[in-house]
Amino acid sequence: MNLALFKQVSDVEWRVAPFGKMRVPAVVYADQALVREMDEKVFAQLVNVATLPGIVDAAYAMPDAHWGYGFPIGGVAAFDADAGGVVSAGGVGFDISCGVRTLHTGLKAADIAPLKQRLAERLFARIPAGLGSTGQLRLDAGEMDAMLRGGARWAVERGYGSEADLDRIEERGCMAGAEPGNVSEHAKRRQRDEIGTLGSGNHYLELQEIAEIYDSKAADRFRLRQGEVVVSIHCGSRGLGHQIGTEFLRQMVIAAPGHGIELPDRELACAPILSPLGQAYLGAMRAAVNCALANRQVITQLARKVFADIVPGTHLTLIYDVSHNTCKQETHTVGGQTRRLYVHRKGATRAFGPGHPALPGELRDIGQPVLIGGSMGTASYILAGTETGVTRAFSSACHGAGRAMSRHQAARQWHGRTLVDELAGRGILIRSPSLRGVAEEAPGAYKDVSAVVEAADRAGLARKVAKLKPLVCIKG
Amino acid sequence: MKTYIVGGAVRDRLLGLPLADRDYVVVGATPDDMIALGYQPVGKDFPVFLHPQTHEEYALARTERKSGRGYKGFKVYAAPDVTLEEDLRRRDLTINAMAEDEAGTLIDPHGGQDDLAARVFRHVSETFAEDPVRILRVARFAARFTGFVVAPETNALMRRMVDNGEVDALVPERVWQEVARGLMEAQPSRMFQVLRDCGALARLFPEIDRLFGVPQPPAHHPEVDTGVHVMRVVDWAARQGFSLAVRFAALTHDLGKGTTPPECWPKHHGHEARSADLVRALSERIRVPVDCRELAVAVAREHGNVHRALELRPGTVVELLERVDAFRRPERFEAFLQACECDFRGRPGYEDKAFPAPGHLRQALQAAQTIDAAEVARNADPARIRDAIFQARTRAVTAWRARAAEPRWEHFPHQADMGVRGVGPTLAAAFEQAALAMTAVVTDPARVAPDEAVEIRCEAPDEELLLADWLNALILEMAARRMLFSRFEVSLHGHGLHATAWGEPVDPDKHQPAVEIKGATYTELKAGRDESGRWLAQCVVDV
Repeated sequence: MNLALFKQVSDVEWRVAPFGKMRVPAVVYADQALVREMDEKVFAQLVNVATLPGIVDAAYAMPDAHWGYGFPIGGVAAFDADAGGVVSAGGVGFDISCGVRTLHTGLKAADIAPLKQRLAERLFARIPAGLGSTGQLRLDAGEMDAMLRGGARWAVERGYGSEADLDRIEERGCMAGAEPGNVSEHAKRRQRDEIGTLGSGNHYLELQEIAEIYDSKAADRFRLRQGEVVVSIHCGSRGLGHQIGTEFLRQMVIAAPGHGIELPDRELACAPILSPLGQAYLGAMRAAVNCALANRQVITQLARKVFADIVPGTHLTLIYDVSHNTCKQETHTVGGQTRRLYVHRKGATRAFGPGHPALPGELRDIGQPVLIGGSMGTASYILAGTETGVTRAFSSACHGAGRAMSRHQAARQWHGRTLVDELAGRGILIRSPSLRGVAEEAPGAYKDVSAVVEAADRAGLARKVAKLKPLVCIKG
Repeated sequence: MKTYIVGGAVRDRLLGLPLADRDYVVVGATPDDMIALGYQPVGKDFPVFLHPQTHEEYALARTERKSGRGYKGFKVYAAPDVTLEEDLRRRDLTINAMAEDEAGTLIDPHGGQDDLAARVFRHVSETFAEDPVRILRVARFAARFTGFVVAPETNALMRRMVDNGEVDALVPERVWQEVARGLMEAQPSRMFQVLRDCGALARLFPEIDRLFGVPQPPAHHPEVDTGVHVMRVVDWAARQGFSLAVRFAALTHDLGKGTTPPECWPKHHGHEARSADLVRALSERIRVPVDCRELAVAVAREHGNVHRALELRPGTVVELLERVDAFRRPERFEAFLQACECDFRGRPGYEDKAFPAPGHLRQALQAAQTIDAAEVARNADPARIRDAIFQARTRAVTAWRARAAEPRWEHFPHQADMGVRGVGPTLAAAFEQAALAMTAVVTDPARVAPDEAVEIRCEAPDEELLLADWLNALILEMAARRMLFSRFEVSLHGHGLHATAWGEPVDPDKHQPAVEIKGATYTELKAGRDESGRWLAQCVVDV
């Protein structure tokens, strides 16, 4: 992007004063190089977000922001229902509550080296991945509704994991206010046998080695020790969330003129939070959040079984589970006033700082673990929420690397088989049902996640705790 | 002897505008004094001199009295005893009647500063009425200083001048000169508004004046009033920075609508030919230069054909190109298309709409130019060379159109995801191709056997949403049935779609599916005709 569009506030904060129909400023947290690399569309989309009714404080972009749908991916915006604020289906995105969770294995990388191959094969065999795959559960109408209401708690109640897992999930594993009745039959049809599947695209399950510790106090509390192995799972609400996104986007586009909302971009479709449509969407969206939480919980249990079979006595304990595409009601202080706001995070992670009441006791004085997924074959990071976060983008941080090139370009530039062999040569085992999918997700097609994490740390959005390097990647 | 900066330079400095030319007034000097100082005399009717170095204009302070009708009848009195205040008093508007001395002190005896602040055009004195050109000047200023309004008393004075027949005595050249300058300002419609408010428009340009109040069909002209339309068109031309000829053509393209018998309203059949005749007559009357006139006549006559370009038969397109001399005068053809585009955009809601016609004609011209005219002429009956060339050009345009509309699909880049685009001779064909493009995001469509048929129906408020609905319906079927599709038959009825998709269940080994598609988005969503006249259907899909 053209740097001249912004007023530089610090080396990692760039601001656009309101102009035209903008109601609030737009703010980008990133270093100069990252801002320069961003697509001009990020600027346009952020400016558009700043025009939406009831927006509070500013429209924010994270260091990994890129061209999205209506909202930039890596965008954060909060709305006040009582000030005519809106909820936007595009502002949440199609893959509702897509997120990452990371689990301890308690094993050392050296110990599992001889088992790596077997682990990779068994995980790939047991965890359904890729287009057309189905899970082992087939939900009837009653179970579907129970799952949509209960989230990860529903899964735990059915033997997928334990109570302790729920402490380490946002919303304690169950998003309140879910309305399965607002979820269409089409959406439920897409989901019937997709619980416990990874999906495709950039979704994965990885074994990672803790390669570096930056903050030993936080690392201790997160029980991260250098050389140990963790499991990370990246996936979302599957077909159900996609269908809800599709259907409500359409309804919001059509209803916008009736709500007196002028859309600068159809993809920004939104409805007043207090309107029947806004409420209907929130109920359905929360059901999709629960679907994603249930999905990751079921996959977790599948991974636990594989580990227990191959390395008897291992138990995977959940460090944390974060969601990237959400709209959540949260309390924030803006201009000295405490307000209940609807915070949209589109490709952004919630990053509550130390002392936040939503954090479980053992994490409260450290801050929320913020899990940053890398791309296949590159590093991932664990960060922690900061005290300064409350004054920056409603305690939000980046979510990943962000693509540097399109799938199209990537598929032309890399060959799946060669890539798999090359990564194997570096000790990274890739298992995927599709070689073309592997090529499209080539590490080189993504931006450098380290630069993104560095910028988030410097901007005070979240602080670096540990770096993870991949050992095995099951790619959807 | 004292010199002052006067007029526009003072005004523009106070408005914070960039300074153009500076005019000076010299008080207490004779022409001989000036010549002795090395100034060069240039004025014919009154004493004006050029500075020996800067070549800026220095005029001796003077008074003017009217001695006859119209613009030429003036008696000028310039002498060393004429004061600055007397000189300022003969000027037209208070904002133009300020001076600045060498020390930079402002001399403002007529309240020019106040009027600048209030954004008002106010005449300095009753002597304003002595020169009818001033009505045109005020109108022109209104087009330049778009935030200013004419003071009610000034408007009343101008109206009296019109009623007294003053404007009827204006010399045609002078009218054109002022109007041409006004057309080149930021918002020319304001000039015509000022002329209309004082009644001068009906006297000077009855053919434009009578457009106001003439209705057009609201379906194509949400603004309805022809006068309003024409003003929007001319303002659009100004906003694009187009040439004088384009702006004049924009102003005059619909003159024929003013002579449609009211019983035919809001339709205006055949108005193009009437417009052309009226443009010729108007151009004759006020001595419009030949380049402006020719372009305006062509635009008046042909703008309807340009709007219909995509529907015209190839032979008719070539005839149109030949009539507007596009083969020999490509620059003028560009100006012609610019004016037609202004006509399209000069309607509320059409500012951002796709207008493929100019691109279509440009490409048609390019296609027609590919023929080897010399070769065609050699092989033709010498008496029928023109016709042979016409036929060859028509064949080239026919072939180009067919090529452009061949059904096909492609992907276009989006940073995180992928764009799918279908192209075809009909919208339905484009929808089919877009669906193929979507399958190709997942796998090579050639690997998918069209064994099983699935019926799909959807309906949407417009074509773009219908495309998104169509692709999303397919995505739902792909996901719920775990199928891939490779053959599509779409039929469209208004904004309803009925389709059959053929495919087979997903087989990871056979299809190597790259990704699963989450949804068709409204990003880069388009469904309509492009410049080549082919239909195009596209959007980004989230994967």
